[in-house]
Amino acid sequence: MGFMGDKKGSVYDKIIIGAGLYGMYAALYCANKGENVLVLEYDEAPFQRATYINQARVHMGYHYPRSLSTAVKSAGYFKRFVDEFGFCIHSSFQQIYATSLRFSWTDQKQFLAFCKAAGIRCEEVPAARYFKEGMCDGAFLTEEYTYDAMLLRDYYVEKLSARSNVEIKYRARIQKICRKDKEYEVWLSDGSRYHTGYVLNASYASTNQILQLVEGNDFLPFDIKYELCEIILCKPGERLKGMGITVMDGPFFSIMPFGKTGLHSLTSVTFTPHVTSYSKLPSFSCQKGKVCGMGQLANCNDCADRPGTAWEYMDHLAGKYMREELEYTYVDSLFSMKPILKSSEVDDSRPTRIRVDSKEPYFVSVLSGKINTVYDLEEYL
Amino acid sequence: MVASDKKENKFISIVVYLHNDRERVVPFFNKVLQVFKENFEKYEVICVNDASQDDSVEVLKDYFASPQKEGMEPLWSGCMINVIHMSYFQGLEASMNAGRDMAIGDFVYEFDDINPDYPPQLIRDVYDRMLSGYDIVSAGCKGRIKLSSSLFYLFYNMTSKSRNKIGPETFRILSRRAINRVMSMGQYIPYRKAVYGNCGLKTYTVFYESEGGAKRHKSKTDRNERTSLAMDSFIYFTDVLERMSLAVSSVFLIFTLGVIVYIIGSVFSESKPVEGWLSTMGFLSLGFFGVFSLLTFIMKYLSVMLSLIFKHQRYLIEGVEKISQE
Repeated sequence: MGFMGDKKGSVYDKIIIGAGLYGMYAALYCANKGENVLVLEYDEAPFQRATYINQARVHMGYHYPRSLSTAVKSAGYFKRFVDEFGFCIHSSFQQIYATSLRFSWTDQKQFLAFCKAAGIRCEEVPAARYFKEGMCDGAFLTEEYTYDAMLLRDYYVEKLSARSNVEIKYRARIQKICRKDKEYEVWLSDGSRYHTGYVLNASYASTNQILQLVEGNDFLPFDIKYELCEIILCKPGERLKGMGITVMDGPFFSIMPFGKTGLHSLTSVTFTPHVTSYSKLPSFSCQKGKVCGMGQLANCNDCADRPGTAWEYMDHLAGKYMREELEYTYVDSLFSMKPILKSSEVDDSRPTRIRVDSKEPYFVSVLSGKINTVYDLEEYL
Repeated sequence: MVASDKKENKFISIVVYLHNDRERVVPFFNKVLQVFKENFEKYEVICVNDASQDDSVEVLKDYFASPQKEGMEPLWSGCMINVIHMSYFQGLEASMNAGRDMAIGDFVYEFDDINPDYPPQLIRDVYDRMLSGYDIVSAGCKGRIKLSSSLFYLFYNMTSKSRNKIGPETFRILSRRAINRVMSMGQYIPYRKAVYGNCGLKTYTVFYESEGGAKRHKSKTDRNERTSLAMDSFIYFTDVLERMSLAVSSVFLIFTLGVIVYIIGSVFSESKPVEGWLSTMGFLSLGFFGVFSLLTFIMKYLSVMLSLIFKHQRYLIEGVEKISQE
């Protein structure tokens, strides 16, 4: 074991906060370099929040017709991710993208031109095959996959438990993070303390809350807003089974396979976010009088006070576009908190933000909404 | 009809036009949402802000963003509120087209005017009327309307190609089937009433007596815009121009025939007119007849072109904003 324990606490080469994909990826990457790593996770298991609760899309770039840079980057990482994590990838379905005739920021011609520029596959197919008359001006067969977060989790749990130089601490309640010379000292509420020369803050929606815990350093919070989001899981009918549908580019929806679960995820731009908080730290009326608050987000999916479902809204939106024979039925709802960088609203780009707040000791924060840009981390580790 | 205890489980969209209406926003929603809350399980509100210059939108946001009103659960709890911001002033028709296109409900209410001068129960009545077998049911205010408007409706209904008559309307309800039909007609919708009337489905108008006699609010821009819309509507939806040119050609045809009869008559008769008069008149009337017949064809041709051209999106929006209830 790597800790050189003294009476103050154990020492690690790196302490990683958050056992989502970014945290686990970083842990394994550093473990392979022979470093001693501690992962601190608030929940009882890894992958309980945004890594699991999202559209599970392995982005090829189609989503960003107004940000070629984001698209090109996604496409570049797509192949690498699919090669490396093939075991959790579901690829044997038709992914249909369509541009809405009304209210879309991008039309059929612009979408085709964009795909050509980004160098990603895009074959035009008749829109009438999938959509009601007069709803979409273009439909395209594309190449995009979905990943199964639970398989990915099992992979990391197995890999990391085989490593003697990685320790994962669940139900960790971080009290404060103090700087001592060339070290950070991480205090947990159970009285334990850990030392490291490198903290990676990979806590996604809690990233500003973690920054807040660093004593004596005024690290700027990320300029984000918070959205409490609902992903609906539904059971696809025969016709929809082998198919994913995404209508672009505006207040529309997506219904596509959710990993290898056999279910589809249904999401919409308007109805998936239930409530929004514009403050630096997440503040919601549902947090009152609970462990969850401005200082610490509890898991929204397990919360008794999570909002009611927006299923009727999403169902009506999808039903307005899709042909009747593409059926699906409601199964379940998943809720999670999503931080959105305010600067990305105009071009709808979703940059992966990695910020080095201090050097020697290192404090690095990562914020990314896409699974396959995880490779961006490597140069910082 | 009395609202029953069991709420209707149809999904309703409420599309509301907003243009410099700051005083009317709150009374309107207080009155109208009460009816929706009592009668329907699920509904959404879509406000189309047609470039209001006053603080209508702020008033609207304040109204919907406050989660509690006097300790009571608000009328809109659990309901989605969206605002469409039009890029610049585009008038009632274009704005409401945008609102309707955005709506996802099984049934869509279009409130062209947010002066609720009708009993709230009327909102439920048009719904019940619709369920009895109509696809579009409108509520029209009986009595005082402007002379120019009534003249317009009179001429329009005389020359319209549709069997459905149009008149002044305050709000209406559309079925999804009616909206699909209108969409699949594939044309630009410059004037909703006319297109709805032309869609070939059953329509109905419920008339009511205006309460309180509050004046209809129309700004100067509105009036200018509506005048030009009225002219356009004659061209789009009636065959008044074709008929006029046909009438003129017919007059010339009769005149030509008259001249021919006269020429034949004068060949056989004793009195000879001035030399060359016959041939000149014959040529002129034949010529004019030809020209006007040709114009009739051209008119017809243009009207076909018109419907082909206007297939494109005809309104510009700046963005859609969701009002978060926190």
